[in-house]
Amino acid sequence: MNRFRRTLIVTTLLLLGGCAPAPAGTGAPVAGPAPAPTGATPAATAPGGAFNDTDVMFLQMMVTSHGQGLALVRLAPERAQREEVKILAAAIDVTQEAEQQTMRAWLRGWGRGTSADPDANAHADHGGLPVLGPEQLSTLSRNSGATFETDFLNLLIGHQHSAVELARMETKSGVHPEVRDLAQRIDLSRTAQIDQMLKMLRSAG
Amino acid sequence: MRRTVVLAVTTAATVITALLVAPQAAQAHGYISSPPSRQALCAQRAVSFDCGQIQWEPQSVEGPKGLRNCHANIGHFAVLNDDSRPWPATSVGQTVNFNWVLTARHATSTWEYYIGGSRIALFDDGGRQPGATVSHNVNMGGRSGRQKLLAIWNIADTANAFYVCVDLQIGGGGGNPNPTPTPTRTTNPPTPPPTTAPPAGGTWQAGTAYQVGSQVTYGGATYRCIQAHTAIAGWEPPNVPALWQRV
Repeated sequence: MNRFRRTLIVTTLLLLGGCAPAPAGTGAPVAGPAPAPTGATPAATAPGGAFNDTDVMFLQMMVTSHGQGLALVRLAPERAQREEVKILAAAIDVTQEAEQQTMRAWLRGWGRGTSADPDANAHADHGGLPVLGPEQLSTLSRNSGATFETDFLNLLIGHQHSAVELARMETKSGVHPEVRDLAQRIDLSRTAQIDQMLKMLRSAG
Repeated sequence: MRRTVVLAVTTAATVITALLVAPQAAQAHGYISSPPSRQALCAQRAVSFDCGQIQWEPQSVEGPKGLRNCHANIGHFAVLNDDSRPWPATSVGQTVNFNWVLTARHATSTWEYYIGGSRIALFDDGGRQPGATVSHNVNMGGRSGRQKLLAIWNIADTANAFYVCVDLQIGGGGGNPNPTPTPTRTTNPPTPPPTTAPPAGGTWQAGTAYQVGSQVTYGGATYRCIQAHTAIAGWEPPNVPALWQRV
């Protein structure tokens, strides 16, 4: 009860002032033309259709999270040993870069800020931003070889678990079809990446 | 004026809705990734049976402090505590390095390691945040053969802890004296993700390693790989133009 109330308060504060820098009326779904279900490449401009605070918060947190994830995977080409680790890191690099551009374009099209408060603790109650700060990255970048790979994989697995948690928040409470589709793909792809990385950790002995 | 009121009410309703649904499954979480814990094995579907829900959230085995089981008394994670299942054991020596995956660096009181009811290691973080990565070197205290290790992450600022069991074959190297056979790994997931994308026909297949220049068909179109990767659900060619170019 106590904890629930605390969660309520924290979440309320976050919704009102934390993630979505909210001018009056943010919460109101914005009416617009129904989005065309193209199924093609993600649109580069803001999709039409109604969206809510969760859609905005998800995109903002995911943009910030992607920035941290990109900084992490870009350590791999020079420091990882195994080819499979480098290949996965490179594929994550290009796909998340593309996702990030799409998400920024959507937010700009909606007239919203394109990032969230990178303080992990500020978001702990709705998925949290990952643990990757500059300090963690610099610690990691001092390593190489097998130590680097083990730390890198554990950090990236944790990071992608956070992305999955965010994505599930969106598929649960978001309303915008294209944002929800993106969240669904993030849930699936990160879950599969976690599976691959756990296997890599295992085969490393 | 009237419009403002409507907006305010709608905003309040949105906030309340978000309150009711959003915070549910989201907090600091963690588990041991290597040697693989039971939940890590479930997440990579490296067991011969269906783990159920835990495979989608291996980081979520959270319960009140003081428990001594693998599933934190969570009913739908009970499989983790079922020793009759053929859990694969990892061969290790007398000292084992346990690596943790954390989704947030929660202030930590202690990390505890138990075998057979005895605590074999304790790491006291004194309420500090853990570092970027967490790993502990633990001595097995002369134990040998198959052992179930229980690790506990005690969070400093909540009443809760995270519970993780790891099956070990200590001092192994040679055969596997325990009666529980290590199951052959299934190469394909026994159950598809609950939210899996519908197969669209074509030659593209999750699990395949594609090189730059490889061509596949998907949903009636042909694509050329422009970035080497292993295909996974969520990375279907039309969804990831950074990996696939339509031909």
